[in-house]
Amino acid sequence: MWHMNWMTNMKSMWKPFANKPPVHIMRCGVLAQVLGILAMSVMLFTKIPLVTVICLPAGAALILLGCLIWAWAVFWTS
Amino acid sequence: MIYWVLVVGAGALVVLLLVLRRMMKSLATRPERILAFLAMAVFPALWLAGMMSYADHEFKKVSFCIQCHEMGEHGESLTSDNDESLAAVHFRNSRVDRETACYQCHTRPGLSGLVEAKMKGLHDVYVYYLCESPEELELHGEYDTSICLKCHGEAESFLEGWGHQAILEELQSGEMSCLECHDVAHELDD
Repeated sequence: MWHMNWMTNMKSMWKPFANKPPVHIMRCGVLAQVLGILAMSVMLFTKIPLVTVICLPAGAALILLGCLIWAWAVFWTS
Repeated sequence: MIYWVLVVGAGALVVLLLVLRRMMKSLATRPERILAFLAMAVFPALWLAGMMSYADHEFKKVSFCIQCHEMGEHGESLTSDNDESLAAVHFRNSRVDRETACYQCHTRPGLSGLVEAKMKGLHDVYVYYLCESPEELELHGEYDTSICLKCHGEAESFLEGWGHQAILEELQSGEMSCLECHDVAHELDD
């Protein structure tokens, strides 16, 4: 029986649009994206190798992290 | 053009993100959430893809490579009058894309060549900023003949001329380097 209960729990947990997404998590997503865009913009304006090496991966990671937080918060929050 | 699209896109995205941040508490219905997802995940991801593509193009340029002062002399050698200098002959006669000449002649063909070039670039940045730069610059290992052959390999003038036929197999297998005969890659002041 335990696995049936587990399945039911998982289904309800991963049901899209089940509840309103937590605002504080989405705010973290927005902050990550804004910081990521700013980091990438600094790279775009300066084009200095050292700035590029730091800002390109950091900016890309922050933007992707923001996207993931949003995807999770909007579609899969329970 | 792409530069300005990315600059305007960055500004628009930041404004959009900040506006949506204020509207978060009202994201209760399905269409609202889909719209929010589009704005907060799809647009930034598209902008990021555009940015990565622009960065990839921009950091292949000669102007980027010669930013470090050690490379200045190599950059100047591209416009040298010496007809023995491979770099100058290729650059002056537009035998390579002049905007990305360094990248064209120092990157092996294929995806592995691209990744290898990026890793070497990272190493160069590390040495430039955190170590003492060597007085004399050297290549990372032997110059790979496959870089020359990606353009010259099937050219009639190469295959039939200048005695290349006798050593063609050695050149193609990498046993012999083009630089053994064409030994002035860059004309540098000693």
